This record gives sequence, structure tokens and C-alpha cells, in this order.
Amino acid sequence: MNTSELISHLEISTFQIQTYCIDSNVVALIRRCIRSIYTALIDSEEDNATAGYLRLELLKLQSTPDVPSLEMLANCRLEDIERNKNVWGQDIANICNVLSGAIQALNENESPLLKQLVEVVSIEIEKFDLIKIKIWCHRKEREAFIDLFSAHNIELTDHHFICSLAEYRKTDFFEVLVCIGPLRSQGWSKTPKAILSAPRYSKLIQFIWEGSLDEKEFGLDPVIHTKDYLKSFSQHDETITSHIQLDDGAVDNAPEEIDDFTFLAERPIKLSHENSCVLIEFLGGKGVLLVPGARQLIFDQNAGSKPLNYKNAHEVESSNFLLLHDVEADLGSNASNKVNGVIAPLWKRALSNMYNQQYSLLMRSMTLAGINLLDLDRAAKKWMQSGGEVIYGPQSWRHFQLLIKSVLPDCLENYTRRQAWQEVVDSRVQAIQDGRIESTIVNEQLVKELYSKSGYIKENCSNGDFFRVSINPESGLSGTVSCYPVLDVSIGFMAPPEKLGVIKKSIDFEIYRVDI
Amino acid sequence: MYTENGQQYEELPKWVLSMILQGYTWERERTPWKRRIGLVSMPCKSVAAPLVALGALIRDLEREKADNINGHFNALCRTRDSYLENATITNGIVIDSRGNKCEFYGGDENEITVINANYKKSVRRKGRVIPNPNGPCKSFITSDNARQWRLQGASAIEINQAGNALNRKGYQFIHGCGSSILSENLQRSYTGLLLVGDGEGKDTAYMKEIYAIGFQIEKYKVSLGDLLTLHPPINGVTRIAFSNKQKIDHRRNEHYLVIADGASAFTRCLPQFRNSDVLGVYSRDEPIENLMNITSMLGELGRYYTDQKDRTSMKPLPQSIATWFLEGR
Repeated sequence: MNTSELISHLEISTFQIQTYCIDSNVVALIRRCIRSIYTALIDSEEDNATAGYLRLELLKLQSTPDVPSLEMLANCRLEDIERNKNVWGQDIANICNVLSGAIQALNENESPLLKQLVEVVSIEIEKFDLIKIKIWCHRKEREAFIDLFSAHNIELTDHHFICSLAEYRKTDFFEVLVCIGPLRSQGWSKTPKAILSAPRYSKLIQFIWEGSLDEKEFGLDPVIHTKDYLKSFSQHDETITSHIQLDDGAVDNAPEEIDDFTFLAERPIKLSHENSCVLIEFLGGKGVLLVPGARQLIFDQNAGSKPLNYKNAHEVESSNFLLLHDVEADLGSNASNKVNGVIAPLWKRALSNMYNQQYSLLMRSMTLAGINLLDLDRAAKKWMQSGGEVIYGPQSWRHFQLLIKSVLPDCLENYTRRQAWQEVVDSRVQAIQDGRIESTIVNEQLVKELYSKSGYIKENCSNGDFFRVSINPESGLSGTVSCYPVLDVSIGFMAPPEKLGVIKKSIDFEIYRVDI
Repeated sequence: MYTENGQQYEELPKWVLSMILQGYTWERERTPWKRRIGLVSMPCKSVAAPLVALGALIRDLEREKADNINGHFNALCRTRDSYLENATITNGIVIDSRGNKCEFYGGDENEITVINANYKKSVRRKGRVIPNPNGPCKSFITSDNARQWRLQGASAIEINQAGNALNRKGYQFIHGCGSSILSENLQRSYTGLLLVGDGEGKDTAYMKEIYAIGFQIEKYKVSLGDLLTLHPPINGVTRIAFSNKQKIDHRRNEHYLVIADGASAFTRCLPQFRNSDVLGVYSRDEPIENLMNITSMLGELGRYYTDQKDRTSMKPLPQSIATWFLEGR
């Protein structure tokens, strides 16, 4: 489809949004219970992992065709009534009971949203044929849709799904776009604004639970906020009510005042370390957190003659392969690998002798000299070490001066304190430079080496699965490159530094989502 | 007739016309000393930015002194001085209108002396290398004939052969647009207009899309890329400067209008070309993070600019295209 065709389509077509709002007492109860337990966990600040899991369940409920299962309580370690009573108190234990009953009730009866979804889609298929209907969902939810419709004799294939902006861009005109959940451009279940600002369909059918709200500015141009593309749509809302008889005690029809996103945004999970990062999700349910500005090597199949590129982590796209490696440059063994220095052995020997023979005096002298470190023993041990890539010693000139002048006088023979300190500093500068040089060599050489294997990489990329590439040691590099097919990139995460760069199940990273 | 990716249209599509006219009328009704910023929101990735550039280029063809002649001799003098001071960092080759390559040799502020680039400073005689007994053949560049010379890698300032001039007909397919093109401008290069996009070579995906747009005026067929003179023939005329968005750091701030194709090109150009008007064309189906960068950048600049609401209504735009213009306070 070319630009003229699309613009002409946008000029002459009429667009419609049909929203089915499902009012279910069971789902409302499930949401209310999760909210209560989540609030208790957040207030206690004791179990962030469970709070994170509950938050994820509440978010998933908004946009997935799956209904919650009792497994959720087991994953949150909330299935044991006695334990709940002991750990969280009677109130939370009761809420867990109600939640368990509501989930059972929902599973025993058909989900009213799914029932409506199948009914409506069946009618649209009769009108337009299946090929003209597409479903917008997260790639992870595709299988659930296929299974759901298959049970009703509607056979969906990958062709019927749009899971990313890149796929949407490539899509030709169709009639009906189906989506579950509120329209949001950021955070969980985000949908690109382009589906309203550049519709490639005629009718958008949306299914939401009662109380879910679209983002207010979803229809606005992403830059020119005076332009509202929602105005070109005619909107039709229909509420479907579904009530299942529950135990008397469990029924509470008081409507929620705020939607789940606002509720969660007002009760963030407190994280002790805060590093802004992006979550890059891979096929197979795994992912990695990376700092947004970190340069990442990627393989882009659509980039023509230069498929290997470095991109900032937040610029990685869903069709790319992320290349993570443990490659090191073999720079040969030279003197720079083991730094002993000329003056350093003199004061290190004196320090070592004192540590071994007059330990108490050493500790006292260091304290009296004004070396105000918390762990003097550890510091002394570290400073005594020889070899390695730097000369270990005090971090500041002041501490070094006090050590040599007051604790180890006359240990430098004919050398001055300034010369000895300069030697320490020089070794650190050299180590930094060596590190940078190695990094540069690895980056340049690795790209060259990978280009020599580009045929193999291309072939494997076309399969769309994870694969590894071993680097030939003759290239001066050693290690392997792991190639991960990128599924999605989400901004708005805060994680402790030790979680960055670690590949884990992407669900485990949900606790670090800040941008709900 | 208009061709887009092989599909032919008898009439110019409305959006194509709108984009060309956006560029053509850019200089109209403005306060000359106030910088302007423009944004065009497109529903999909398109050639809107090159089309806007074409409109601005046609307007330049109608303007007097829209050429690189003024200051060219001084620029050559500066390059010569730089080359003679350090030959390793500056390109010292100049080419005349007949394609002869020469090298800077000397001169003063009124005259540049050049010698044949093939001249050998030393020759071998009886097995020994000696200074060339025959002196070089010198040529002289003055302010009068400077337009016949160009630096290697740069476009011709003015060409003599009318056969190599741009074809006027190619720029006159819109009624009222390009009707008063000056003949001398068709033979002169001009780099006051800069298009910033992806790719560079004719074989890149970005350029292929531009060359896939074609116009037919009677029996004369021409592509958008050729009209924009993005890849002129040797010693040919170029009426636009082009830069890959990754390389804008190397460009001088000498353009009156910079047209940025894409959100990231726009966010790079806006702080880089502080003395130029910047017109950005973005697609609404770009990743939201890129578009948010524009919003935050304009948010910071907002207090120094005012909305030009009256300008947005100057041309009828298709509903799916939105524009926003700002003018410095």
C-alpha cells in the first residue's frame, strides 16, 4: 500500500469504534480482592515480589483473553489459609478466600468477555470474511486467542494478528480490528496511537471490563496536540451485564472510583535502588533490562547492506536481533597485565610486615593518623596486595599521605610520597586506558568477524529463534555471541544495578515496572 | 501524470500538491529575521519531506541570487590558504568546467594560482631523482572566472554548456508554481536548502523510495530524485544539499531552510542549525518514544516561539495530514 492509497482511504472512509463494556460482578470482585491484598502488601513493605505478581495479574486481566486461575494464589503463596492468617492476619486471609471462590466461579462459568468476543467476531466474519478481520494483542497472547477461537470452530492463523507497530505498518487495508482492554499508548498493554491516527481498517471493536478507561489523549496527534483523530470516528458503546450468583458474604457491588491503572500508579512498589532502564523481551518469555542509552549490538534484517549496528537500548526494534556477547580480545600477555611498580613494593612490604607482626599497632596508628575508614583491616589487606592490573592503594591522596607519613615512616628510601602516589595514579589511568582500548578492539573486531559470518547469521535470523555464534579464535577474539529475537521493548522500568544485563523470565522483571 | 511505486495517477494527488506547495510558499508572509519551525504530521512513512523540498527548490529557481556564486572566490581563497598550510588535512584539488583537475599552488587575495594536478615535482634522470626541470603549467583563478572552478567533491557553481542545464519543464507541472523560473538558475548550483534524511547513495532504501516517485509532463518523464538533483552528474548542477541525519555535525550552518525527514532527523537538526528555519516531517506510526522527543524539545523552546495559526489554513490539506508552524518571538 502506498501513501496516496492510504491518504485516499483516510479521506473517503467512515470509521467506527464499537466498545463492549462487560459488567461482571465476579471480575469486579476479583479485581477488588487483588486491590485489597495488594494494598496490604504495599503498606507492609515486606513482600514486594508478591505485590509485583499481584500487580501483574491485575494488569493482565485488562487485556488478556485468559481468565485468572487458582495458580495465581499459589504463585503468590496465598493459597494456604492458615499461613495467610498467621502472616497477614484474619482480614487478608478472608479476602484470599473470597478471591479463591471468585476465581473458581469465573472458571466454572464462561468468561462473559470471551463469550461476547466470540459472538461479535462470528458476526463480523459473516459480514466481511475472516481474512478481513485482525486482532491486536501482545504476541504472548496470540496462542490464547487461537485456542479460544479454535474451540468455537474459528481457525485463526498468524495472519490474523497484529502485535507490533512494525507489523501494523506493513498491514494492508482490512475491515475490522479487534482489541481487548483500554486504549493506552504507554505502559502495560500499550497500543500505538497510530491505530486511531492512521487507521487501516473501518471498524475498531474494543472489549473492556467495566471500570477500565481509555487514555484521555489517545486520539490526539502525538506532537500536534490540537489535532484529535478520534473526531473522525463515530463511537458506539454497549454495556453487557453478567452476574453470577456468589456466596452472600462475597457480594459487594460498590463500583470502584478509579481504574486499575490509576490505582496502581498511586501505590507504586517501593524499590531501594533506582536505575532507569528498558525491558527488552525475547521470544520464549525471556527478557533483559538495559540502561536506555547503553549501546547494543543488533542485527537488523531490514537494514540492507549493513545489518550489524550499534543502537541505544531504547531504540532497539521488535524485528531486530539483540546480540549479547562475552567476547574478549586476546591482547597477549604483556607487562601491563601485572603491575607491581618500582616504589609500591617498598611501602607494601613495610605495610605487610607491620600487618603480620604488629597488627594492633598498625590499626591504632591508622586510626590516630586520621585514616577514617569503616573497615581498616579490609583496607590494609587490600593495599598489601601485589600484582593485578593496578597498584592497589588508598583511594585518596590524603589517606595515602597519612599512611606513608604517620604509619609507615621512612619506608620509601630515596623516593618522595608524591612520586609514590603518582605511581599509583598512573597505574589506574593505564588500567582505564587498557580497558577502553580492549573494548574498542572488541567492538571493531567483533563487527568485522560477524560480517564474515553474516550469511550464517541471516539464515538463522530468518528462522526467528534464538541462536549462538562462536567466534573463531584466529580473529584475536574469544567467546560466543548470543542472538536473541526481540519481541518487544518497553520503557518505564527502575531496577537495581545487579538486575541489569541479566537474562531472566520477563515476568520476573514486572516488579520493576514503574510506568504502569 | 504522477507515479508512485509503479502505480500511475492521471492527476497529482491532493497530498502531493499540498506538500509541494508547503515548500513553495515557505518564504511567503514571514518576518525575515525571525526563525521559523514547522512540523508536518503524516499518517505513514512517505516522501512528504522530499516533496516539500521540491516545492522550496522550485521557489529558489525563481529567486534572483539563489546561487552559490556570491562568496565562492573567497571560499576558494580560504581553502587554498588552508591547503598550503597543511596539505594533509585539506582537499587541494579544484576542477574547471571542462573537467581538468588542478592543485592549489599559490597566489594572493586577488588571484589563486593552480597547477595541473598531474604535474610531477620530481623526475628520474639517469637513475637519479631530480627536481622537474620543466615548470608546471599554471592557471589563475580570479573573482571573475571563479564560477568556472569547483572544489573536488563539490558541485559545479555554474555550467556553461546549456545541454547540462536543468530542464525547466520538469519544474512546471503545477499551475502557478515555477512559472517564473530564471534561466541562469537552471545552470547554477545552490545549497541554501538542506534535506536531512536516511541513506545517501542512490542504492539505499531511502533514496530508492524517492526515485520511485515519478512525474510526467507531456512526454517528459522525470523522477523526484532527479528533480531534486540529489545525485547530479559530474560537473552537473545541484539545487539542494543532502545530508544523512547521522552526519549533520559535519555541515556548516549556511542553509536558510532545513527539511528534516523523520522525528529523529528533526530532533537532531533543531539544535544543530540554530540560524536556519527547520521544517520536520514525521510519520505518526513512528515509535512513540521518537515522537515524544519532539514534544519535549518543543516544550523547552515553546516560550521563545509563537504559534502561526493563520499559516496552517493557507493551503487545503487532506484531513489525515496536520501541520504546526512556530515563529520566533
